[in-house]
Amino acid sequence: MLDWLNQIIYADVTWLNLIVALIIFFAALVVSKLLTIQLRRTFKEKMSKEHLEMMAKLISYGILIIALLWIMPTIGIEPSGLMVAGGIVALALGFASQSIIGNLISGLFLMGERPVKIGDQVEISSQRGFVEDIHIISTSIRTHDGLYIRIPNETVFTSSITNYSSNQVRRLDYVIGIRYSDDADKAVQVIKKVIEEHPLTMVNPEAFVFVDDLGDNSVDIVARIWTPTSEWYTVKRELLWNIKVAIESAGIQIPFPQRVLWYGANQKKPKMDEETQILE
Amino acid sequence: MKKTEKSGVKEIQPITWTYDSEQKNEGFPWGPHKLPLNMYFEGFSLVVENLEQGIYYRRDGRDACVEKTMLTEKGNVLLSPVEPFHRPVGISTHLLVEFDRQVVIEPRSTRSILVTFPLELACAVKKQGTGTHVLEIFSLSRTKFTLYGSIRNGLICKYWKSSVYHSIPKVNPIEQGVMQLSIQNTSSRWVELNKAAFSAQGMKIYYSPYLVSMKATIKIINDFSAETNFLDEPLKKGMNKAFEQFTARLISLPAKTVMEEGY
Repeated sequence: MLDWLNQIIYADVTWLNLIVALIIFFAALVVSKLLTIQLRRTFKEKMSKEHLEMMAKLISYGILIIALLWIMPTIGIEPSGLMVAGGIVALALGFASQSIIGNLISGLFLMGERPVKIGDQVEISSQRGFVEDIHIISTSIRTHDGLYIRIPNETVFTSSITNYSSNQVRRLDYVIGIRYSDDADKAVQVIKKVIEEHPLTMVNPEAFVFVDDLGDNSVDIVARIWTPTSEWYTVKRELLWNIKVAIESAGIQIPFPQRVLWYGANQKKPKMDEETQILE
Repeated sequence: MKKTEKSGVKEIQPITWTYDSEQKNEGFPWGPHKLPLNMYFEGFSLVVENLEQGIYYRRDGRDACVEKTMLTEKGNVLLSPVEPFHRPVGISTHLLVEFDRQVVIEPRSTRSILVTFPLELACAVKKQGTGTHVLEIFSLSRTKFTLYGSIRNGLICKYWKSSVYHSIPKVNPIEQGVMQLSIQNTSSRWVELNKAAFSAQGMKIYYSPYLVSMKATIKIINDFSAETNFLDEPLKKGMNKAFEQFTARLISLPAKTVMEEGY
């Protein structure tokens, strides 16, 4: 009844050999999948995501390669024969798949150099977002508006990369304009207090707040604040409004752009305070 | 305990606890509590009680009101000081204590000082057979962060400024703990110490009703380097060991902190 299993398909390979090979291959697939799931579950909180993903991929590909080498003789392919044929095949493949090889080599260099890691916020070839995964051929990015972008590794490798997450802390700059009639020293103190009270602004590097420019419409105060890189956007969202509320509570106002027009030669030039009142 | 019905939740007469008035206190915050529990601390209250559907938890005051319902049968609640690294989540695994005045130590000597450190509070439900589940971790002390080392490779640390004491200071034990820091100067020079950085791993916190403590060491190696570590000992006899949250989770984080960027 099961004689067909011993029936030869090609060379010395029977149906039984083929079924055994398929079973081994699918078993290896299942084992590698289960192992990587278990690995991710076990080490999720104990390892960085990047290292965990790299380890999972190494184990997964390792199991599959071992399974393939194991089943090759069963399906009539001798690994030693591949060595001889390898040179010719490599030459043919090289011509046929130059870009794939280029991406592959770039991927290996990227994994070695590690200019970006999984989870980093980056800008690569004008695409800004979070690195979702670094594959052997391509790198995938999730943009801030939720789009998935696949960038070939050759492009990643040859482009200039801005990594917003690579350093521990990141600076945030605000320019706050106040009226010429306001007390700039008081405004600086108020802004410093707001920055100090925020839990996510760093003690060191210290925040700098100073009068940076005597602008056309306002005295411009610059605030340079350091935050943990992961909290940069949270602080950016919260702090500016807190500063605005605090300086207005202190009686200091943020002026609108203004222009003084003069008519006639005999008009009396108003003093600074009168000018402010006219414009208000 | 007097109980009244209000909007489905039984109201229990609260136990008030203040750190500066030992006589008035009816209980103390730390350790396992039988349900129902209604404790009023300075500025916030905790209510945990058994309902028909499960356990009801509410923390009210300071910065938030948190309510939770646990679908379980009766259990106990555990309140414990924990390492100060859970709030805000995932920013830092190190604590940097800056001294308000410089400590100068002579060559080849070991001396101890006392400093304060910030605390977080863990409220957990404990049930035999199912282990302990942390309901909430919150902090009552001021949160700030600082960078120790370079922008590229430095450590983001929870920042705490402390006075230097030579006897145990009276601090609110639900906000601050007291750390005995043993300073070992192995160098042949006088050393000026301004700060010490510690890893979250291996923090051994102990508590008693009015004191939360830990013991740490700082070994001065040379003009620029020092190494900090913790000792698994209470500051006073009879103190209980606190619930360890970080040590159980982050096995890859070394317990020793090597300070190579000055102290």
